Amino acid sequence: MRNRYMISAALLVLASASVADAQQKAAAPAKAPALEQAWELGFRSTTTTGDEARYQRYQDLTSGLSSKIWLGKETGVAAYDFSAANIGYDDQSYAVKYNKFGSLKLSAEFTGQPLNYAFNTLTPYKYAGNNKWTLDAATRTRVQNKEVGIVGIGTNAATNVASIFRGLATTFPMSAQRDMLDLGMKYRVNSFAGVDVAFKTTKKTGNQPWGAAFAFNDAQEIPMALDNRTNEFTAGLEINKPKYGMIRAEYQGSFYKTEFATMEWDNPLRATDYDNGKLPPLGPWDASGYSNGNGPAFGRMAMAPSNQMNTFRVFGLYKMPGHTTLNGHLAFTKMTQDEDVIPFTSNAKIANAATYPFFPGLAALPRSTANATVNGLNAVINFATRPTDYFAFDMKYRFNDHENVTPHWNGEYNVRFDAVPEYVPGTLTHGQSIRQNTMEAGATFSLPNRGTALKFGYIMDDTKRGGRAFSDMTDYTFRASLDAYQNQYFTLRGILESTRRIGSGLSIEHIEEGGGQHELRFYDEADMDRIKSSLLLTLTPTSKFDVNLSLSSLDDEYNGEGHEFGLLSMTNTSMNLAGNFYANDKVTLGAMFGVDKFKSMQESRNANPFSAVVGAYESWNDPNRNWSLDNEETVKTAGVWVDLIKALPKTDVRFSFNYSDSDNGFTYGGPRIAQFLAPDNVALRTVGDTRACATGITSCFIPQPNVTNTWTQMKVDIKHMFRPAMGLGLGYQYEKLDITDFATTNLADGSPRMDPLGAITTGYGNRPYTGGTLIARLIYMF
Amino acid sequence: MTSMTSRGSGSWLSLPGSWLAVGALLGAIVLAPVAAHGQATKAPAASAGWTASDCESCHDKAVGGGYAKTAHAQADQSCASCHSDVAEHYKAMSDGKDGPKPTLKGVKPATLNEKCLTCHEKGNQESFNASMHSRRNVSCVSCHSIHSAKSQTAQLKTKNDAETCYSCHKAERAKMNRTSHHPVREGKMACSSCHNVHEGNRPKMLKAESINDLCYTCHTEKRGPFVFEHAPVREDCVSCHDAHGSNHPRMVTQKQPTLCWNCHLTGSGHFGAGDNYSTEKGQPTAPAGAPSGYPTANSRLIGRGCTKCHLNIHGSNSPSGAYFIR
Repeated sequence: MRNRYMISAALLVLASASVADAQQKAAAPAKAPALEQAWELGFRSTTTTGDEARYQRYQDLTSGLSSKIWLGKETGVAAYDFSAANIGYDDQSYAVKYNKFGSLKLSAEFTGQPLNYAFNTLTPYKYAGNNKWTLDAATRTRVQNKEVGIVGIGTNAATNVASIFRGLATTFPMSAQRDMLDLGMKYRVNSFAGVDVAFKTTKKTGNQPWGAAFAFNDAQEIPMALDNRTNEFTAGLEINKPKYGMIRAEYQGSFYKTEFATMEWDNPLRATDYDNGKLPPLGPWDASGYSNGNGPAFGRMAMAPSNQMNTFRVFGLYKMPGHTTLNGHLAFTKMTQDEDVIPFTSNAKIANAATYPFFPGLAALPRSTANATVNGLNAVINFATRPTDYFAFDMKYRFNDHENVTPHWNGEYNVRFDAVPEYVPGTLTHGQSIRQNTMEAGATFSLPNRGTALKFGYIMDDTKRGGRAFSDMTDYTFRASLDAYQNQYFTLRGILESTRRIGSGLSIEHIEEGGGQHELRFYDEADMDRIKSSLLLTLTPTSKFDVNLSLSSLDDEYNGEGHEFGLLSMTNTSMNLAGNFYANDKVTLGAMFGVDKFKSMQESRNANPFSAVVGAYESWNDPNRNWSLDNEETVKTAGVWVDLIKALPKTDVRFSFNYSDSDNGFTYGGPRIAQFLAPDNVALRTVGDTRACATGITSCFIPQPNVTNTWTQMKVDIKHMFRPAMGLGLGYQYEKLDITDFATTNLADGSPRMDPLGAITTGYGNRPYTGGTLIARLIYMF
Repeated sequence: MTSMTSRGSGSWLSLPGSWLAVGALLGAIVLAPVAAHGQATKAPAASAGWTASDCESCHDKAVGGGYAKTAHAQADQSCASCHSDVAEHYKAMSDGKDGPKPTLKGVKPATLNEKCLTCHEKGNQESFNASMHSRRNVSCVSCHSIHSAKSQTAQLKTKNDAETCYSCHKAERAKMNRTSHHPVREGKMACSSCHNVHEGNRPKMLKAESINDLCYTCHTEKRGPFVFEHAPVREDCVSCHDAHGSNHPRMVTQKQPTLCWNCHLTGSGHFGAGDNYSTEKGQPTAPAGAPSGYPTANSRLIGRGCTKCHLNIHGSNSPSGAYFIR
């Protein structure tokens, strides 16, 4: 805070000098019009109830000094600009620009970008540096020893059953900070050649909530530490001759470097690696350790690795007679990542010589570094012609190749959750290569004097991939659009698309690998019929008034032979109605209302894997275990805005109101759900089904409850210039979020619960807030 | 187990559609100029004179104020570069007669665009003629105002680019007001952070060759390549995320675990008794006598569901990361 005052004061002095300078110069006749210059200095006050961080998600609205500065000078030959905003705060920004008209542009910008997760998060973990998180060893020992009355991780949802770690947890603000510096230069060598160079560096620090499980009932959430930087460099040479076209060659390099290759965190259930006293393969690990917490003393995971990407691109445009152009680009890309691969496990009871005879693949890593490389080739060629005012034709061919040339990694041996060594035959990396060929052609027929065009198009989009159930898929799309754009009273734009997707090269083995039924299809690769449409109608009965109606819909049906499980259908519809009224130069206002709907249908079967035991009950084949889920979300949106610019003497008033209301419901159906909802659950006891779940429980099915939220925002800003160059501003912003989310757990007093059933978390979740920010400021324009 | 690298599928030209595309393209290139014989593009008329200072005595509102601060006013451009019959208009007005009106109102979008592209068909506008905006007759002046721009940059008709885009793309405006969104409404990003609205080469008018390549610009840690990769992640970020906004954490399109169930739905033996999360065992309290580790409502933990355990869902560099749990 002290820094903010000092920086603001310094800038105030600096700006005062500029003002004085400007005033002195004002006496001399101006040679050229000056660019708008102003600065605002004031005080901001923010009050919040509830989730303060969510109110300030990407902003720093802390109470204190508030500042904005625009300084500019234009000499007729060049222009200089300087701007700064929210000086001294997490979201501060500064920009300096120089433009020598027609020859040179220089720019330097710095932007701070916070991402505030929650200010009342809490954790019993202590940061030990290098992304290592520790828990009190004595407490872990008590939990490991199962001392009477000690609860390590809760097995009861009741909020008054506290984990012993609750008392050790301390509150901390969880946020991440992204600081970006962007430097640019564009130089016009002569009338047809130019070069440009840009450099951007982004530093990301702070924390973010991150899952860190030892398994189902031993799930942690850690405030993972962030410390990484991305440097991006671009250099281009462009040559253009307006009558003939242009060509541009460009290099782009992007380099990501993280300071943390791993994250390590203590197991709250154990102070030492689990040891059942047996020799491999019966121990010393617990074969069920990945589900019951009988795992390691601490866990270790790999963080997203440092990596780089280099791209060389060439763009070209060739202009021909008859309003004909041929353009395209070619880009060669190489992505590489060669970070050290971490050991299989942190568990010393597994990572030792006694284990390796039974799990030989764990004795040594297949290779010590990732040695991962992707070669990319992207090519586009575009042809467009408009030989007459009545007809136009365009054609495009696009080729994208993402070729993963990383050597296969044999993942047959692994250690699950650092708890259990495993051998899973056939687990090789797939090499996620993607090769896409897209051809698109369209013809436009125009009635030029009527301002109306009808366009027909065809797209064939063919994709080949590795590691998927369908190796290939092809989308065939027909498209028709109507645009009536030049009538004084209305504009109409409509488009209708019909797509048929056909998947081929089905590999049932890929579905089996994931434990799925043979009739499962992945929606993004299986056969699909899609109808997509949109309509935009703008009515302008007078020059002062317009009404806009926007409708759109997308309807997907996932079908094809054998498709019984998975996502079966999905629908999106959207309707928005808006109106604007321009009374005069001083008064404009508008309003909008919209409804978006999303709906999807999934089908599943709850079953054990097929056992093939003769005479045994096979739930795998029992259609009575089928269930469906209808996921439906409706979002209503509204907005109102009013601008009164000098409608009152020397005063500008701007007002806006925004509203968004969402209701997401989950409706379960199918025979299995009907069984569960039966009063006595007798139906659950199908032949051979002796699950304990039915014992003494009237129903153990609990559907997900609706997730809802309502967000409102109101902003008003009043600016009164009591002198031509001096004024006062008063702004107020109000926001309110009401939200219910079954995935957020609280204590009885509404504060975050960090020890919900089966986990030690940071308490991060979706919570309501009400926030208000008032800014009073002095404005000086010169 | 198959892979692209091992399939040896040969040249990309082996695809029939590719040959069709190339053939048709070459044919069109050869034929189009022939069809357009005699309709060669005329170079703009020489525009000696008729600069802002010549016209401002009558059109001070158009060439004063904001226009005077634009590059158009500063550069060696004149009114006659864009407006036609200026001299005739001046003479007629001087003589008190009705003459040609150099207004651009009513001019076809394609013609207007061509005027602008005379100078601007380079850089970001290089492929504008092939863009969806151009092909559907959206004119430059639908978004830009030459004489009374309201934006700090790009001479837009509204204060910022998002407001310009929202005038047609209202569903995107609505999405930006959802709880999980990119910082567009906070002014830290703009539509133009991801889209080049003049783009005709790349999909969805993106500023990168693909959706994923675009996302990697800021989310470089997701770029990998990883030792273990999740196929839909590598193929298309929007398989799971809606970059325009969502009501679910991390801009995912559906609430977890529902999102993951779109693909991973049928019994996998994953849950011991072969039952699925949140249906048979989605209860807040483990039943009496339930085994240790009985899956309960924690499967819905903090909006993360499946990613509670499958935490490195974007890819893993761990040798034990085949299921993205390390």
